[in-house]
Amino acid sequence: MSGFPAREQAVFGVDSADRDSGLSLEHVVKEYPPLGPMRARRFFSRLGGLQFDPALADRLADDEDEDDDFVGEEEEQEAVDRGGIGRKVVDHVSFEVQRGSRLALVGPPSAGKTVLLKMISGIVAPSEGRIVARGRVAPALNILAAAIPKDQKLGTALPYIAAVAGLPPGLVRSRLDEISDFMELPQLRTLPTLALDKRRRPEVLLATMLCLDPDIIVTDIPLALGSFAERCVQRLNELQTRGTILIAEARGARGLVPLPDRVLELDRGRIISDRLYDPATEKQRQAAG
Amino acid sequence: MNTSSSENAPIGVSRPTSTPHGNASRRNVVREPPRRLTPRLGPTGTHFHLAAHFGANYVKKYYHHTYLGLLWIPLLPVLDILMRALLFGGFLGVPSGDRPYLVFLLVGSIGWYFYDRTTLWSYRSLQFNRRDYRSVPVPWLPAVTGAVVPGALQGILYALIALVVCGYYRITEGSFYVSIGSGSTYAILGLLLLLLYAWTLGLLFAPLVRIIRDVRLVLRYVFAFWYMLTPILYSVQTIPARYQAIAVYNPLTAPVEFIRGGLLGTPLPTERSVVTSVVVLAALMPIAFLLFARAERAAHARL
Repeated sequence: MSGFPAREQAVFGVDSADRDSGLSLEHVVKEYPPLGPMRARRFFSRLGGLQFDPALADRLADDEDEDDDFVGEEEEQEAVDRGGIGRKVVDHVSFEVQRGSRLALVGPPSAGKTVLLKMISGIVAPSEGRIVARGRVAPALNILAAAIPKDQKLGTALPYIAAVAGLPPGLVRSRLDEISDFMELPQLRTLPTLALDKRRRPEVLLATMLCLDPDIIVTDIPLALGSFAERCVQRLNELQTRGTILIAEARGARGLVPLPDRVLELDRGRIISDRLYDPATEKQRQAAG
Repeated sequence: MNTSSSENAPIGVSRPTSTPHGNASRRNVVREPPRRLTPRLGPTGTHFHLAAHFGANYVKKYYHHTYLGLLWIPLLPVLDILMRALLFGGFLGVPSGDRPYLVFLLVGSIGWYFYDRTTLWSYRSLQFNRRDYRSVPVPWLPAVTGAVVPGALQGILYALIALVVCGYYRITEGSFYVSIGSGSTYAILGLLLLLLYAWTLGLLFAPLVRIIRDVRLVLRYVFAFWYMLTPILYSVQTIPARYQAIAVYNPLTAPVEFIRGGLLGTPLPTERSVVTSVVVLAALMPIAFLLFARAERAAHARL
């Protein structure tokens, strides 16, 4: 990858000498533009000489519209909460990951970790730059877990969520038995999504992605202790031997299961440190705040 | 700009490569800022899955939280057609040529309701699926194309009712009234035009309806008025001469007349009517695509 700064060109990970790149990011930027729909809404509000009041509009709505609401207001609030308007949440990030590596993206809130994962997954497009991923990218992200349709059976909901993530739904359909075994949920096909609590939904998503033989797995789902975590670690180890890249997000690298071999620290959208994982260093860094 | 890949590539290039799993079909995926002028199609193979998912959700809305459940799906068109036939054919005595008014109305309704339901769900699609779109930038186009599911369902139901009614007349009067043969090609052409109109209007209004409630409220009345202006309840020939121009320059007259002409053998639309329909569609379609793509790009950039 010519043209990259030397630090970012460095190769990390176990047995890296004979492996080639599985993922590379070149000067990737994500910047949130101003909120267009809000301008349109304000224009229409002025046109009517009234302040648009979504609550009033909902009350006036007929039965057919009982569950309707409008997205502009929420979008604005969410973007403000995210602190994303008017600044680069990811600012010219470049790095390369070799096959079989375990990369941890760490940093404080609003450092740009999740946005970076979303961009690698293809869920969000970069504003500038280029991401090259070799092979199948399987995103096991909380944002996707939250988007699993609540009123459907998992046998239908999981292929849908795969399609949303850009993966072939037929592939998930063909692996449902494997996912069912992995989750130890024999009735997975017919189980309503609502039967799973909020903690289990991300787990089902992670299990699904692990069963798709991904070349790159991207996750922000934390693994705690327990039999599910053990099965995940075992599966990840198997995948890693075949060259699968794991990219996980966390506040700090020490809490990650399984432990990474490389740590990329972000702050305000920029890479501030790119280092090999060393328990002592990470402990020191965490203690320093 | 690069071509799209089969997996995980809303944007980007693909070229075959060897992968850890030895699957040659897996490709390199390149993600770059979107520069296209057309709406996102999404990765290959996922578009129709998503469209079917959204289409099924639209149909569910008809009977969701009801005691009769799925029974409402055939019940709604039956009640609707009975009410209209009684009012316009019975009380008002609207002429329908040498065929029963019920058959005349039903054949016109096949096209209209196919168009009407597809348009309604197209322009409501983004607002209706807002929960799916709120945080994850799913391509918008499948939600609009999925609207054809409730539209086609309505069209099929009206066609089935028409078959039952015609069967009844075949037994009681000895005439089936509907003829299916080479002329039916006109009916297919009419349906195709209506589908394109429905999608075009959906693409045009869906981004607006998503953020401004007023648009949907206005559209509801615009479409009700348009229904009255389109020769569904009456034939073009029965309109007084001074109002004929309204029917001729109504872009939906030609497709509806094609369907009726193809199935009932009524006169086909005039040349002027067909040209109007095609020209309006050709003018609207690129505008709708561009505006839709622009709105989609802007919304996705904010996620």
